[in-house]
Amino acid sequence: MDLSLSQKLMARLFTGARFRKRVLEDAASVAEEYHLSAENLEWLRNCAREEARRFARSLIRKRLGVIVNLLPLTRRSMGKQFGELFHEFAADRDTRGVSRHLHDAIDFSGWLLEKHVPSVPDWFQHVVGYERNWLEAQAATGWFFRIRIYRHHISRLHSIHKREEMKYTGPPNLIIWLRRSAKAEPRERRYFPRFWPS
Amino acid sequence: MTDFNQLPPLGSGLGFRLPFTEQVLAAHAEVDFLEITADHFLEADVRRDRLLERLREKFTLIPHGLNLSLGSAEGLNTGYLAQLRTLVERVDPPWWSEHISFTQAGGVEIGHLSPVPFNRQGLDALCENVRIARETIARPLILENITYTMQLPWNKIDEGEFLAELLERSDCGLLLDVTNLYTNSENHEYDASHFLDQLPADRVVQLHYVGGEHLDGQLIDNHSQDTPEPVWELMREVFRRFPVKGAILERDGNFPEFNSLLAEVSRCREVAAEMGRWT
Repeated sequence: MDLSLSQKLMARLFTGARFRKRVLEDAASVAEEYHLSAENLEWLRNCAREEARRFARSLIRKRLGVIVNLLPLTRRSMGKQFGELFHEFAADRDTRGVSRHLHDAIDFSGWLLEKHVPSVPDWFQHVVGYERNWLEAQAATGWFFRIRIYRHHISRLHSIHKREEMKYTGPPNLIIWLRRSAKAEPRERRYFPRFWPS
Repeated sequence: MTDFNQLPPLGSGLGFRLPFTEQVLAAHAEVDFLEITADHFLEADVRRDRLLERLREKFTLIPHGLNLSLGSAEGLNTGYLAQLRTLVERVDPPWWSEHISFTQAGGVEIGHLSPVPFNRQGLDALCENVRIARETIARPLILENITYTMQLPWNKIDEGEFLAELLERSDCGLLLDVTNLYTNSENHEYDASHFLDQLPADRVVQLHYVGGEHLDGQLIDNHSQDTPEPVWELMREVFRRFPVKGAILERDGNFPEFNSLLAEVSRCREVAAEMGRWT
């Protein structure tokens, strides 16, 4: 097989669950699309069945290993659902560029915000949004400014390590994310009311 | 042709990882040089720039690329090459390194090193891309052997023979990843010594070593464990055969105490000294 074609097919097999499924369930259309001989089609099907699936799983595991450190509060509030849902998210999405993991975390958190995630606290969306804002500040290639007010002390959750103990409580806080330029460090500033009824 | 024997011996070093920043800077007497993952410094903000300067003050730094995709039939990653050039010129290393692999094809970025077939097409693609890379970055380039879980059906040449021809044709050195060699020899049941027999002795410049683990019935080079004894034995053999200039412990995760990493760096230096290297 021509090197360019084999690499394109390998890239699709390694990063796309839907393509692997199509190779196994509708091989004829794949053969027609890529003008594959019977021998090459056989290789493609064998690869999709085992090796590519294994490679894809290890790729997703590798991405997850980085994402858990970029979304620690989200992970803690979701428990083992975090890994399960990340596998679902990543099955047909590749990553791009030098800051691939940062963008992966941003895209995953955006996906979680749109998805109905069962068995999570009612403040879950605030936590995901909070972490996403910080990641977007880090990924910004120029001026970045965002301000949010949270009813509860969201950043207190950083110091809690057991999911069962995570309780979203007051006082309310205002958070500003700022980045002046691509070279400047991103900053997060938190402000709390001086008085808050107990 | 590059005379790799003229490159300076750097000794026993460590792959730099951010969680150990302050410990690494404090251990400059025990770590001979650092390998930096290029991607961590290519789009650096002020803080990362400052870190790079702090590292440069204390260590020789070897930039290690991940996404140049030298094995791509469609051509290498030109945007990444331009970024690498800026980094290499800034760091001024005795050599820089990348992989014998492809990481992108057909508009898809795989996000991991994928194998190039050991055949003429693979050789031609690699040599052409290396030619472009070397025209852009005027420093000796060394190429790393990767692990592969599957044997490609288009392999026509022995891997060792393929590497030897690649290195001679492209005038590159070899970053011999000893753990990858061990991993492949275990997973694909071949003799690592026979592989070493085929390598051009004067082009083996640097080593990588670390431990992996068994997963899904295969040995995986996930850089997450202490270096196992079989890899140390293979390192001893490599030091005996080749005038290697440097070796890097490439731990990426499941980090132990920093002193454990220093102990491995020290052991590497001892093994090299037993074989008459860097003395």
